[in-house]
Amino acid sequence: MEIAIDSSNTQEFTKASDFTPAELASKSIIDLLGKTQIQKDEIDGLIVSSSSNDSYLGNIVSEMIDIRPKFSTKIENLCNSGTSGIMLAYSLIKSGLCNAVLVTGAEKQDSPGNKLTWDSSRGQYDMPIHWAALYAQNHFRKYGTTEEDLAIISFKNHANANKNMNAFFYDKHFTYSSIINSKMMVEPLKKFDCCYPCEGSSSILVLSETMAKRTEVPIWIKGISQNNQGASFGSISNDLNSIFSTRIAAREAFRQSNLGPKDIDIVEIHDAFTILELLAYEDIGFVKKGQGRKFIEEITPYTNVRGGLLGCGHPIGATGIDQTNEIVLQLQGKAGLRQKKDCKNGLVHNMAAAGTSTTVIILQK
Amino acid sequence: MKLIDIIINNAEKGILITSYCSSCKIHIWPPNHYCKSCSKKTGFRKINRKGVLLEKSFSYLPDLIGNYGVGEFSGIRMVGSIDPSILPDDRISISQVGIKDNKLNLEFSKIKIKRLK
Repeated sequence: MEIAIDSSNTQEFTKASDFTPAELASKSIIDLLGKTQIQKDEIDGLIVSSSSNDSYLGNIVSEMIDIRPKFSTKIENLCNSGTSGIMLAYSLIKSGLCNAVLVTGAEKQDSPGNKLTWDSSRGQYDMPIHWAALYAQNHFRKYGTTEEDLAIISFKNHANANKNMNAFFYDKHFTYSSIINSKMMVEPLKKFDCCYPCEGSSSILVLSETMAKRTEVPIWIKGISQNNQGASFGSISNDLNSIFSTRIAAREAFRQSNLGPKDIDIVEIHDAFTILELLAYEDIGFVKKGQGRKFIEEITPYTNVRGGLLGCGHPIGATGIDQTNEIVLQLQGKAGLRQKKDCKNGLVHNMAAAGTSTTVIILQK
Repeated sequence: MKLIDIIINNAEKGILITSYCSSCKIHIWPPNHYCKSCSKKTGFRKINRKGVLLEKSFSYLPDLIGNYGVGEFSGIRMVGSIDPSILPDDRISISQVGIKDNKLNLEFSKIKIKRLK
């Protein structure tokens, strides 16, 4: 049995509002339900992705939107929560337990998921930028990557966000000069090499093959894989050359789909920091190790067309779902101003906590 | 008492310890009551303070301004502040162990190689 995604919805990513995570989630779901042909009473699963401390969110949101699903839960996997929710939905349908599962991500700007306090090996340097900067320093030293290379990634993604009304930086226009000259935070990463924590929600409807065939343009999940290497920055790999969880998850997703990197037309990459986009080019397999900088200005596959985390902001639990939404919209031909031509296969890359876990999803029209 | 609190209490006295399996003869990080290899009960032992610097950078964040790096010490990787002269792959030691804001506060120094006369 094949599994597909039908409808999706993303609310505007903003600074902190008075909305609770449950209210953010239900607003996004209600807007999604307004455009799908699937009836509300046919939805038999609800997964709420969030790093908030709110308990029992799955059932709270179920009650708020008035559904009584067979299965409901909250899922938390830090920045990788959203696609973990999609993977759980996929599994529920594949096993035959459910037929139509809503996955919704909701996060407040001050989410406890912004920092993994558990990892005591980071000592005083527990802000995520400190591990990201070490990856960048390693890449600069071994492969000749430069601050300019990273600034091009930041400029591209911020410019893409100017076509995405839900993006946090939708109406903020940055020049390459303002990005390369922005304040140094942790060498070599500057202010605009870093994503911005924000508030937001995003939802997606995952369907069984039978139900998907009732919809207009189902987008098929051809590969879905996750890999976990622990939780500590110190446990990630033998060196800082690669994000190992990405390499393993991508390889498995490609195997499932019978596709390879050259078949991918459009990709959403987890660019919480610019260096992570460059590493992902290599670790997904678009280029060889160390060649990421040569890939930055390639025209295809289209990368981070919605604006990435850099341009959209990063509401932890909603990010992976919005990334997936973007690929769904692009493949459905519904991406509006951002629409790219002739996209058949898309890939979502969503990761967490120093690259300790990654999910890769391959979608096909 | 939580294992991490025992580690923090010792670090306050300048002692760096973690769980240790005397059967496998390995330090366990993150600390755990049981060995991740043989599942036997663990005790505590000092971490070998000599290691290698894997990578370094410079932080401009308030209260953290200065050089820092990730070092590997008998298979355990830890992040601490470093002397600017230390380079990746240099042999280092954990020269200072302390606690700040209830988090480990480590300082790494370069090991000076003594040449034979």
